[in-house]
Amino acid sequence: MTSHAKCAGLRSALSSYMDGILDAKGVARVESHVRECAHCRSLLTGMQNVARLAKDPRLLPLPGGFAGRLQANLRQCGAAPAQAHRSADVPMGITPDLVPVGSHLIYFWQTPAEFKSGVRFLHPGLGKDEHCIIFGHDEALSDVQNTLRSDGYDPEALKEQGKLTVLRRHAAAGTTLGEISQAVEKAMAAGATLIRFLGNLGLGRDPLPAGEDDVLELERRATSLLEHLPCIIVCMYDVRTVPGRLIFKGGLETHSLSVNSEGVQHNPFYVDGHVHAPRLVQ
Amino acid sequence: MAATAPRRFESEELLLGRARLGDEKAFCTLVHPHERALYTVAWVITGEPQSAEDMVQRAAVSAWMHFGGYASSSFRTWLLGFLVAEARKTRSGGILPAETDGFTPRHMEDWEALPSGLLEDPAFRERLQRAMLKLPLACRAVLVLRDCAGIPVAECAQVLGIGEAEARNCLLRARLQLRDLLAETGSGRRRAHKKGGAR
Repeated sequence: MTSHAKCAGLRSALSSYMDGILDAKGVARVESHVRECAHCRSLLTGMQNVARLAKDPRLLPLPGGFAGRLQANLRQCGAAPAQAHRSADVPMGITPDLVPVGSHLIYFWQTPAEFKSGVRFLHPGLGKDEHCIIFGHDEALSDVQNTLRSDGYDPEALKEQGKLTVLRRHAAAGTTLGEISQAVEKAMAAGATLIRFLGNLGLGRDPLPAGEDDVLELERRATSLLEHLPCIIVCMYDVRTVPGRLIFKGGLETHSLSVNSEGVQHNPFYVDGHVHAPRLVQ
Repeated sequence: MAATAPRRFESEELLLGRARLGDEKAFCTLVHPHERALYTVAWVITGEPQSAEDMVQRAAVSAWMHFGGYASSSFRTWLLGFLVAEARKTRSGGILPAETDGFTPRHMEDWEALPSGLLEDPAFRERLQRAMLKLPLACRAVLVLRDCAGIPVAECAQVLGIGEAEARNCLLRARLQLRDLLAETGSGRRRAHKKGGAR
């Protein structure tokens, strides 16, 4: 091949070389050639100059306030098809009420019948495009799954289908939230449009993994997380075994809504977690 | 206890989930990393900042309105598709005529690396912008997607609806021609040989 023909043949390879899409042999061929050929070296340097200048954000700076205008435009353009889901609150299951996505509810139970009613929170999401997570101590997890079986569901099949996650309480709030986030991410990646999280607080055979204050920390931070997630949380407190302090500081102060057999209502004892959180864990 | 990696909840999967539920803030957060890609493509099509922003805003709104049907493996590719659709509306002939043949680069030696500080000079910036607008439209589009926005060539091709080989040709042509256009403005070359010196 003549030198000129070789240059013409390598020209497109120079650009691909810059983009890192040549194989090792191609890279070696280009590097060997540009060492010897001033013309191709000049082409490569010139193209590298162009790429470097084009990459520099100063060349075409984004107009200021671009993102804010975009958000305003989206609001003005009306509901996107996806918004139907948000504007129509979702069924909460325990009662016929609808609740907004992002709700964090407290449910106190004392009798087996009340426990069974609480598990109905999961029913509207099971087998649909939602994902359910049950969380708590071993006895509670077992009881929730047994209740689901008695209601005609198959927890094992739901777990296999990726519709149900069972998370055992075994660690402090930080680790627990990390595990919850992983479960949520996995569910969202699989296409879930809503997460139903059923938390269970009660004293089982094992002690609380990190004490009472850690439970309060978990509740407070769970509320913060909801601002970022398409999620509804119901926390079932077993009032037979949960200490009074946790019932008050955790159950009443960290949940904006409460639910009982009469329906969902605003919780007058709720304290904004962002404002009072430090006090809660002292 | 310190906060547990709240950033995890900004992952694309979760933002997509929130956006599916109608959260326009989540959608804006998804769009944010791609604003530069959107804007630079719109700019090389319109050649003017305000028109470029208008085109991007229309494309983003259109994407939002169609988000219920989102099922792409790449949000960026899907989003840029709406910009290309907007561009096609404003340019009846489309944006990608095959214009990559028949260009021979000038012969120049000892081309030195341009200091990036040159872009601080408004006159140089304007010269470079004008030079970009002189490129064939297809070449401009691939150049800004690849070199301004850092999008891999294969994805550039997918966004523009052309073959990967054609995208590579467009990019080569754009880089070479812009290099020559820059040389004509006297930027960054030490010795330019006469135009007939091409090989």
